[in-house]
This record gives sequence, structure tokens and C-alpha cells, in this order.
Amino acid sequence: MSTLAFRMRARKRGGRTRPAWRQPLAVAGGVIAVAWLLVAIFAPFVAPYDPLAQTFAPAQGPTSAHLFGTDELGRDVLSRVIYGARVSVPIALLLVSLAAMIGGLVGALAGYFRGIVDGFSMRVVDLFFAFPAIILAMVVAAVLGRGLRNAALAIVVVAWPSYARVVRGLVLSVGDTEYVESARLLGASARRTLFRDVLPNVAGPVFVLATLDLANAILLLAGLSFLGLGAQPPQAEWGSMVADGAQYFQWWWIGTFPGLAIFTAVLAFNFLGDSLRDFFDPQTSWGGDER
Amino acid sequence: MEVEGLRVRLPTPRGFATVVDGIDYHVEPAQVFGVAGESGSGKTMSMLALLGLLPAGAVVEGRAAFGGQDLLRLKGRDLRAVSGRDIGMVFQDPMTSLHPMLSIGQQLTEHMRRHLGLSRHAAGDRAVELLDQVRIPGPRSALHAYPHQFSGGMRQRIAIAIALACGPRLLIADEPTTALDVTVQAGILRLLDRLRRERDLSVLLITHDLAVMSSIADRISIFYAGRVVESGRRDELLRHPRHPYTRALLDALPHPEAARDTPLVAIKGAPPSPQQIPEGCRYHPRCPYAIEICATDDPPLVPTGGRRLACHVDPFGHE
Amino acid sequence: MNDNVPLSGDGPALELQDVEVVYERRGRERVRAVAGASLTVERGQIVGLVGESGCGKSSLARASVGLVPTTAGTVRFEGREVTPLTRRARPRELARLQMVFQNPYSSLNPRRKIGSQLADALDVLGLAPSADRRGRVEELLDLVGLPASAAARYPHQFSGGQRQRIAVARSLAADPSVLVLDEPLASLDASAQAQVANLLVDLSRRLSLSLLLISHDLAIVRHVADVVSVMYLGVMVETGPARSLWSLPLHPYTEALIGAVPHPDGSGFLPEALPGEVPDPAHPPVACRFHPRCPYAFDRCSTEDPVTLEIDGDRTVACWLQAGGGPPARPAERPKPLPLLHVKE
Repeated sequence: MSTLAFRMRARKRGGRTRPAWRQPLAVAGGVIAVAWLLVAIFAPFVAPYDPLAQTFAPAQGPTSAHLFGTDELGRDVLSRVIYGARVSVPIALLLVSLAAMIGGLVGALAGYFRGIVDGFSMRVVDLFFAFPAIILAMVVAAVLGRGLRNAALAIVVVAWPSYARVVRGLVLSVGDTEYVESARLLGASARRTLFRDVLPNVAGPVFVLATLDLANAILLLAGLSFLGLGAQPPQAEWGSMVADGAQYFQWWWIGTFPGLAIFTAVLAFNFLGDSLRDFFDPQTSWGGDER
Repeated sequence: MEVEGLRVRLPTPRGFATVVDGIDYHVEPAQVFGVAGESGSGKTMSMLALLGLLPAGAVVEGRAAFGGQDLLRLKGRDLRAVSGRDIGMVFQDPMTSLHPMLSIGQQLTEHMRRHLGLSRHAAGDRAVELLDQVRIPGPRSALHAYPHQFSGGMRQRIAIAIALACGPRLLIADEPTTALDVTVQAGILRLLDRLRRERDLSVLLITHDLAVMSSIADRISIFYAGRVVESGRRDELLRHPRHPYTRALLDALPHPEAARDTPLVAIKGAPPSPQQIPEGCRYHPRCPYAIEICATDDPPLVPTGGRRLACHVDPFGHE
Repeated sequence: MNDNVPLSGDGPALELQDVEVVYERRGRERVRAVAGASLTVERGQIVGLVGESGCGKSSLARASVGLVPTTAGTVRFEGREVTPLTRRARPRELARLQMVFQNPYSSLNPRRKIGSQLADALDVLGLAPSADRRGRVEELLDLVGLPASAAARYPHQFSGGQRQRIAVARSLAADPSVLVLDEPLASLDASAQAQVANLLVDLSRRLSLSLLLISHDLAIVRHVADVVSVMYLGVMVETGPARSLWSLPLHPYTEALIGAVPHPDGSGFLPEALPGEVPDPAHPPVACRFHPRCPYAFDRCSTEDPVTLEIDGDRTVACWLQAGGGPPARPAERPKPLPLLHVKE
């Protein structure tokens, strides 16, 4: 990379370059994301009370005993937010992984075989893209019936096409690069180059897309639950908690804290995904010793 | 234009890097002045400094006297007024130096109307004249065409026309022919030569290609690692290069008379990065004529025999 | 398939005859990037292919190794037909026909270490069992003048010239007998060009390697190549030994090309330009493709496609001016049948 180009990139980062993992936003994002994950895993140990227990004085504002207050049925909001993480974060991870695998497979096949396979699968993808994500998710969830599992299915249905598109594009473009052509000239079959040269270069962008998609998944799940299509009462889930809070506006803590939880989790995964993009670019992550 | 003591420092993660370290030169009216050097020599940076196009955070010192003003002291609107009207610029890649969505006419007249206050009609006529001068066939209809309809060579001609739109006294051309085929390059070089003569135009030509330099430059400065190492008249400098680097650059080029199977002479090593400038003479680690003093004392650029040279040894001075 | 079939007789290492390469443009007409070109590379010979943008030399290069199919004509490597690549592995017999690409930044996988990429090349070829691989990788790096430590580094840590040498090393892993190089020097600075050019000549002589070097830089090609072919708009206009082609060009385009090269001798020589522009390959001129821009064109040039004539034993040219026989002479010195098509003011 020429010196000039390197300077330009330095400027985009606010004038100082550092390896990607030391960027403050990335670190903050990573820390928060991991924190939520840990909270989700260790919820029973972290939450002060049972999220379903309606034993406390209802509609109490934040106090030292109930840091986030209690909701209209007397449940501790903090505990519900913590248990809500159990729903949102791991499920989002699972859904995104599933969508990435399905979409990635379709995209890889389309890019590898080209021709009819490509044409057909991309038209299917186009079909899915024709609908706005939330509408499509709502339709699928409504058709399948209420409940968390059906909402999860709806999210996978909505998320997989992006991966198909991205992976197909990458397989096609990487497949045309000169280093793949060199490998073919040396005698590698197309399949061999697919696995050794193309897919490793595809993994990076897919990973980045997945991390950013995590944020979307969390949001979408919350949205569906907010609309009543996802998690059903009395389950503690951020989206439905916000819906609750919207009803009882005067008791601001009921909706605000789950909302903040959604906000911080989504933001964290966005920062993380952004910095991962740089991590996977070999020229910036160890760009310190450029010429 | 007279440039004195130009120094450019750019911010890096490890502090500032000096990419241009004390450059002097002057461009006479109606003269083609060539700045030659490899990538990383500071030739492009020094030009960007003059035009205020350096990245944010860059520190510039020195003086660049042009039309009674110091370009390096001008900012914002004042700089744009001068650089837009009195200096024209042509860059390397004709594919990206024209705006793809605006017609040729729009791109040509935009500057004229802004800096010269011409009416649309007058600007249009002048644009046709300019296109004719750069030998674009069918100039009137070309006004309504778009860049993608032209070849690389034509686009470069159009870029030159745009650069000349406001009647500048100085044309800065950064690697104007590097991306072009050799026959197309010949056309552009001839065009630049003719324009220089017809319009009394000064040209600051920046390129790594000494053959291109030799075709149209009157005076040449050789840049190395942010400094001028040799400068003088084109014929003297290229026929009798005195600085070892200049000589090495010329030797690396294939010679028409060379016998078959003689290897081309490559320069050992690579130019230093701005963070790792050697002590003493910047070129000494790669120089086959270096002596002790070259490793400790940085030779100043001194006038000698009709040219300026920065070398302790001057191994070819007798020629 | 017997890999050890000896090379058929002493025929040429690489032979292209009347090759045609066609590209489909989306929704538009087909383009004949190469419209019947012939070229021969003898064993151990360095052949330079020169031409400007749009002449089809890259397409020809890619067709010669099978990266792109031909729509007419034949390509033969050591007597065997070169079949275009399919999804299957390339036939073993063609492994000794390799290619080096123009852009050293995109011809190496940016995410893998050099050593790993070279070792992979050996692996694909089935040469060198894994125990010996490291040694062979070091040998290959040494052949191109790079230290063994380079194997542990990534492509972006090298300069353009070094990367190009690594690309050459990779193709050498196949122990090639013919190496096709598509503008290998174009993105390099003068010093790196000299180094890589020297390396190529050295390898050719040492390993009896035939080279087909595609370049737009006439000066370097002239210095390095034994034989030069000149291409214009999809056809070969002239072929001959490098020296004699340069000192006595037979085709007007060759003459123009040579005249357009600037000289770094300080003399202020302004190179000659060619009038007009390269036509769209989709709509080439009738008959002789160069005639609209040729200062010597006469009526036959616009009505009959020139035949490739053999001159003086080792030279060929496709120009009606040279059809009169007699000793080789520049276009300017040939008698000009009247009327000329373009009259200079």
C-alpha cells in the first residue's frame, strides 16, 4: 500500500492508527457483548430474585432492594432484565449461526456451479428480499402461531438471504482472482480451490456480517415479542417488557431498563462487528510495519 | 513559481514522518520543469503541499512564491481562488479524474463561470475553443458527451482542457501519461509541448519516467527520499548525470545500443521509508561510490558547473 | 495417462495457430478480442508480444494457457492440444505450461503466508512429499533471489518487485518448460523492472525455459526478447528477431510504435504520435485493420485483408506494402502504389 493511501486510512480513524483490537470502541463493544453473554449464562447466579415471582410490592421505583424497580405485577425488573438476556443473546447467536449456515451454503453452491443453480437460487433470494424484514417475520410468526420458537424460526427465514447474497458474491469474485487462477493452472480442481483459497477468504466477511446481524436479530426478536408474536407472558423477554412498559408509561422504569438493555446489546455487537471487519483485513490488523 | 525550504511532515502512529525535507526549486515562465523520482521520493507530496491537498494533520514549512503570494500561507477560499484560476492540475488516471456524471461541457464551464464570471454562452464558446486546442474532434457535440464515451487518451486531453479553462500561468501535471499507451502518450506530450509554446504556459511535470522527462522538460530536479539530489538543464543532466542516483536511474533503463544478454543494471536495495532516513547522505547505503564522510554528513545541494548537486564524491564530475 | 511421454520430436514448445478468442458482452454484440493470430515459441526462446490497449494480447495469453477457451484455431503445448479449464483439475500434461500475472498485488493470496502458498503449489502438483517440501520451497525462493525467511511472511510485507518474484517462484514449482507472463513488469518501478527482467532472462538461460512475455514496454522487450511479435486489434501484424525488427520495422504500425517511444538521452526528442484512436474491437475496420490510421494506406488496404507474408526467412509481416518482394525495407522505402488513402497536408 502506498504511503499516501496508508495516511488516508489513518485519517479515517481520527488520525491515529492502532491494531484493530485496541480501538476503544471495539474494546467497549467487545466487553459489553461478552458481559451480556456471561449474564445470560450465569443468570440464576446473578439475578437477585426469581423473575416470575410476583411477590413484591408492585410498581415501585428503583430502590436499593430493587435496583430497577418492580413492574405492575410486583416482579423485580432487574431480575427480569437479566433473565431476558438469556432469551435474547443466546437465541440470537443460534439464529444467526443457522441463517449463516443455510444462506452460506446456498450462496456457495450458487457461486460454485453458476449457471442454472445460480439463477434459480438467486431468484429465490430476490423473492425473500422483496419483503421488508419485519413484515416478513411478522407474517411467518403469525402463520406459525405465537411463541418464542416460531418467532425464532421467522427470524432465520428473514436472515438467511443476506448470507446467500454475500457468500455468492464473494465466491464469484474470489474465484476470479489471479491467485485462484494460478492454483487452477498448477492443477488444482475447482473444488480444491473452493475449500483452500475461496472459502477462507469468504469466512471473514461472513463473520463480520454475522456479528452485525446479531444486533439485528436481537432487535427483531424484541420487536416480535413487543408485538405479541414472540415470547409469551409471563416469560421475561426484553421486547415484551418494553411493550409492557409502553402500557404503563407513568412507571417509566418498567420499559426503560429493558429498552436500555436492548440498546446496549445492539450497540455492542455493532461496534464489535465493525472492528472485526478491520481485524480480518490483513493490511490493517498488523499494519504497524507498513513500508 | 519559487519554492524555498519546503518541508512536509505527516502524522503517523509513531510521531511525524518527514516526507519532504527542504526542497528548493523555481519554475520560470513558459518553462517545463520536471520533478523526477521514484515512488516515496516526496515528489507528489510536495505538489500536494502547494495546492493545500495534504491530509489533515500535515505540517508544512517553507515558502512557495507564486504571483506575488505565498501559496503555503493561503488558506481556504483564498487558496482556492489562486489554485483554481492561476494553476491548473492534471492527474495521472484519466479514468477517475473526470466526474462521471457531469457532461464535458459542465465540467469545463463550471470553473470558468466561477472564477472568470463568464455567462453560460461565453463559457460554452470558450469551452469549444479549448477542446479544439487539445484536438478533440467535433468539439461542439463533445460538450454534451460524458467521460465514459471517451478513451483514456481523450479523457486526458479533456482533463488538460479543464485545467487550462481559466487561463492559468502554471500547469501541474502529476504522471500525466503513465497510464496511457505509448502512442497516446506521444500525443499528449506533443500537446503539452505545443500548449507551452503557444500559451506561454509553465508546466510542472512530475513523473518517474526519465524518457518522458527528456522529451519535454527544460530543467529537471531529481528527488530522492524527500530531497533534491541533483538539478539542472535537461540535456546536461541526462547526458552527463553526476549524482550516483541519477546515473543509476538512467542505467536501469534498457539501452538501444546495449549488447544482447547483458543484464539491466538494477539499483541495490530500496528507497528508505520516511521513518528510516539514513544518517549522512540519504543515498549512501545504496551508493557504490560512498566514502566515509557520506555516512556522517548530509551533503548540501550546491551549485556547480551550471547545475546543483548534493554529493560529497561527485564521481563523474570530470566528464 | 502417461506423464512421461517424451516431448514430441523437436517441435516448438508453444504454438498458436489462427487463434480466435471471442467475448460476449452483456446484452451487446460479441467481440473478437483475438481474430486469427498465430505465434510460435521455440524451446528455450524468449518471445515478446507487444501491442497497445485493446490489441488482445492479454486474451491471447490467457487462451494460450487454457484460462479462456478459443473459438477457432489451435493451441499446442509440446505437441499436445491445450484444452480450456473446466471445473475438473487441469490435465497433468499441461502442468509444465504456467503463467505469471500482471498484478503482483492480486496474484498472491493476501491471507496466506508465502511459504504456505508455495508449499501448496507443490502439494497440488504432487511433487515433493511433505517432508521435503520445506527444502523445495527454500530452493524455489533461492531461484528467484529471495531469502528463506520470506516463507514466513505475508504478501503485503513485500514490495511489488519481490511479490512478482514470488509469483514466478510459484510457477517454477511446476518445473515448467513454458512460462507465459502477462505484463509482469507493468506495475513495477524502474529498478524492480530491471531486477525482474534480469531474473527472467537468467532463468530462461539456466533452466532452458521458454518465455512468452507480453508487454507494452517496447524498450524492455527489445532488450530481453529473442523474437518479437507485434499485435494490433486482434491480429499479428509483424514478427521477427528483436534486433532486426527494431532497426528495420516492416509494418507501418511497428514503425509508429517504435517512433512513439521517448528516449531518455536528454536530446529533447519528441516522440511521434499516431493519428486517430484504436477502433472498437467489436467493429474493426474492413480489410486491413490498421488502414484508417496508416500513413501509407492505399486502395488495396481497404478492400483486401492482408495475408501474412514471410520475409527473409525469419520474419513475417501482414501488410500489402511488403507484398512486392525483394529485400526487406521499411514501409517508407517501399514504392507506394497510388492512390494513397490519406493525404498528409
